[in-house]
Amino acid sequence: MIPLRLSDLIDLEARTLAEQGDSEEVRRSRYRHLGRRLADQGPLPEDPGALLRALLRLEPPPNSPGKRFESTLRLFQSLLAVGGLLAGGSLSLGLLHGSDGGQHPVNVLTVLAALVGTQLVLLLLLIVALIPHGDARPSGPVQHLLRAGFEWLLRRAGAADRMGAIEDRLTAHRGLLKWILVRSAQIFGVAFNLSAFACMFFRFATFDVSFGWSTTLGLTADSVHRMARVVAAPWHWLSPRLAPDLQTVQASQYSHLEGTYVFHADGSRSAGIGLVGAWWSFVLSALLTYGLLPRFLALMVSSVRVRRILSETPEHNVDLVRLCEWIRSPVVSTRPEGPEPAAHPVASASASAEPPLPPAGTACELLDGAPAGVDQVLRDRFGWTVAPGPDRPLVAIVSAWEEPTKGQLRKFSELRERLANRILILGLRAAAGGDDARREKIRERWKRDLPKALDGVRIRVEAL
Amino acid sequence: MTAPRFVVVGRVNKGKSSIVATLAEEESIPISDEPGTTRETRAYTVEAEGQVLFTLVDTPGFQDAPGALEQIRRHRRDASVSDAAVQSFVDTYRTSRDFQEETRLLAPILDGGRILYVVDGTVPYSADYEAEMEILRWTGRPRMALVNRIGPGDHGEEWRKALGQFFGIVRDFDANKAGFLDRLRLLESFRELDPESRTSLDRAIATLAAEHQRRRREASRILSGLLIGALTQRVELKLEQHERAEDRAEEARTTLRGDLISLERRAHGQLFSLYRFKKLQSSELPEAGLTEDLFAEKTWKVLGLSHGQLLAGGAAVGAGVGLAIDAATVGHTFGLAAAIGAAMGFGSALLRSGKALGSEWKVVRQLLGGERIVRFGPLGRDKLPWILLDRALIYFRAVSTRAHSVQGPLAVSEKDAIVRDFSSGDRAKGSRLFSRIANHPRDLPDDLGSSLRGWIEDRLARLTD
Repeated sequence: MIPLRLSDLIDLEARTLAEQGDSEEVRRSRYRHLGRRLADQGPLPEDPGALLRALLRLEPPPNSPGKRFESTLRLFQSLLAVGGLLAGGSLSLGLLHGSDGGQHPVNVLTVLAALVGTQLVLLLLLIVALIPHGDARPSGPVQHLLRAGFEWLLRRAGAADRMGAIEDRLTAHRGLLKWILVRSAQIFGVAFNLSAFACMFFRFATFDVSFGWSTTLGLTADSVHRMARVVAAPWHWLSPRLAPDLQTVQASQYSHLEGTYVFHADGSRSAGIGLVGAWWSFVLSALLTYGLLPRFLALMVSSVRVRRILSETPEHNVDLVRLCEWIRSPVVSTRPEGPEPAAHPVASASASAEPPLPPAGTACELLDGAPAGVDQVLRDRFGWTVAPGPDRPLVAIVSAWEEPTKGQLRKFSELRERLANRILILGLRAAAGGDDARREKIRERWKRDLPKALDGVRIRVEAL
Repeated sequence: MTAPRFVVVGRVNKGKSSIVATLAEEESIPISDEPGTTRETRAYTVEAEGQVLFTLVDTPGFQDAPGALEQIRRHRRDASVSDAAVQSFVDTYRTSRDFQEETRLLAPILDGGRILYVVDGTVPYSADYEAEMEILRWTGRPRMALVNRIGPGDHGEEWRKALGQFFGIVRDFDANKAGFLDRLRLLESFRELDPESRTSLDRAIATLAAEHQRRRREASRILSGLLIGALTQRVELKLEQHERAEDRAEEARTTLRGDLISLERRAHGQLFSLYRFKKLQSSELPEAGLTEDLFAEKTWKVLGLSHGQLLAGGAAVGAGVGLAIDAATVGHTFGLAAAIGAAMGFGSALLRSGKALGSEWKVVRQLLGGERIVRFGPLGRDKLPWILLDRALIYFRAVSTRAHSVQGPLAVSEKDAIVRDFSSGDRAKGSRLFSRIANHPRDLPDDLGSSLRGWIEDRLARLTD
């Protein structure tokens, strides 16, 4: 599957929105026309994403809203990255400098709370926000803030027209907008952590930062050591030096009231750098593990997710599937050739009154070509006998299933002289049973049409 | 590559126009049981964007074939120039009042048309048809005989025997019942008979097959749109401080019902249009369709899933959720979650089945001053989608298999119910999809819509293939 670019998707959505007023038929022929133009350039791509991209290449949208959206997004993400770098760097340097201007060692608990604890809380909020629920819209304060910021930027960039509707459409693509915002937030997070990590490392490398821990909660060095071991659990197995041992924890407990390490409250020189400075690897590892790594993973996941949505949307989104269908499928239609023939009024089915049937015992003449056994039928049905004679009623037999045709009527008209004053009895013979209503209609038509061919002749039409 | 022209000929009132209407999918062709409705030849071109696939020529019926044959015999100098004799006959009588129908129907054949000779296989064969068959043989053009069915009788065997002496291929083709595959088979038969038009017919067959698939996909889109619309349908009402939601439920129900009826009507209209039945779409046939209203008691009794099937569906939905939990724990819950889910789904479906239709509501916003915005809907998330689906499938089956020669109203009724015959697996999958969709009143994810379309398309394929 070839993914769409975000700008492609937005351009397609903008196109769909602009065409909302057009009828489906108009849209279908428009896209099929484009499909034919594409086909002129080579075989149509099988992949729907590639096909849609080819469509946009063929007919690039004027003042592409997708490109404006994408460039604004890029700017937005760049600003977030710069913001993250500045925030991470300044926060870490500020924390390592000490809240009191460097008079006391850096409180390792403050650093962990600010750089790790806050980020863990934010990460938890992110996970909660990403738990699937009915609404795929951006949710949570961070996403709302980001969305508001992004929309502000869109307005400033003059790219806000129709963007509200397009953003709604992006949400429908499996929460694409939400994932874009998640990715943006992670760009900030990664930049923040990278910067914090780099600045901390720089500070550790160029300055003898001394760490201490102090609290009014009455925690003992044992408790703090246990907590540190829990925090260091993910990386402690790499090297024991990456987590403070009990001796370090004890040595680095600091009393702000006395302005000295508790362990050395007798006024001797503060703890050796080997002990109180040993926290640096722990702090960096914690930042790496609980700050940078999750943010980096979240950035990867959101990027993959965005890419996957952009790949799958052409196959899953009903509107884009239809566009592809229209581009590919020829419009099959039926067209009558020439003008519509003039309507010919069909004669009404009214038939003239028939003469009475000859009584039983009458001898009738049977016209040549009658099927065998008809004389028996005439005898059984009417009590007539069959015998040739110039003055006798003439009986003609035709199929009860056949409509009167010009050919048959012509043949009957040739009998005019032979009939003279005789009655013509037309027997409609149906060898097998069948649709009585249909036979009756045919009989009515014979009753209507035969007198036209034999004007003045007494005619009786009977079903046999 | 010239597209073939099929000239549809036969005696009057044997269903030639019906066959043209069915093959061309053109319901505007005048069809009547009154003989002589077609007095002029008229060609109908089936095309794909200006490229002609094939042309069908409707002709007046033979009126005096024996007389015409006699005249043709007079024009014939020797056996090798039979077609010239027919041409000479047509030239002679082209402007005459005699043999008008015969010259009109023979002219397009002599212009290179392929012959589709139509007889009515429900009436007995008689030897007087031989004159017209003989004339057609003398044209020397590729020809096929079609045994149409106009009435209840069956004389197909005797017809086939007789027609076999004059025609390379004889096929049964009931113009009023022929489905898409019958039409394709007919073109394929002609392809075998006439090597000249093989390439053109291959293209026509491929195009029509693709169109058949496209329509089915489009129909699944229409049906899924209807179901999504129904399942995500909501209406929001502002309630005063002391007003109860139950007091406004009837108002909400009325609005929801009205919207749903419009939605359904539009979907059915789209189906008619998709299968090119404009008369049905424009309600030129007011009696067409199901007699009962969507919300009629009988509809709810007869269509959709039965009570037991709905409860089983609810259990399946719950079990599905539980299974996901079981899978997430890599089986450590020993299927307990699935069992609990099934029980909860069953119970929930049972609970909902006892409630009045449209009684689902929830407060979506609490305003200052005690007012509330309450959202009602959807109307019956369990049973309603199945009823809508059933009705839509009934219409789909009727229009997708209806021949364009059929003039009357759409022959459907509530007795044609379909969904109750779905397999339990299909019902469970449908219930799960409906349940998931109902939970996304806004911004339905693309993949969920896509799954529903795929599931419906499978059902449609089973109905028509």
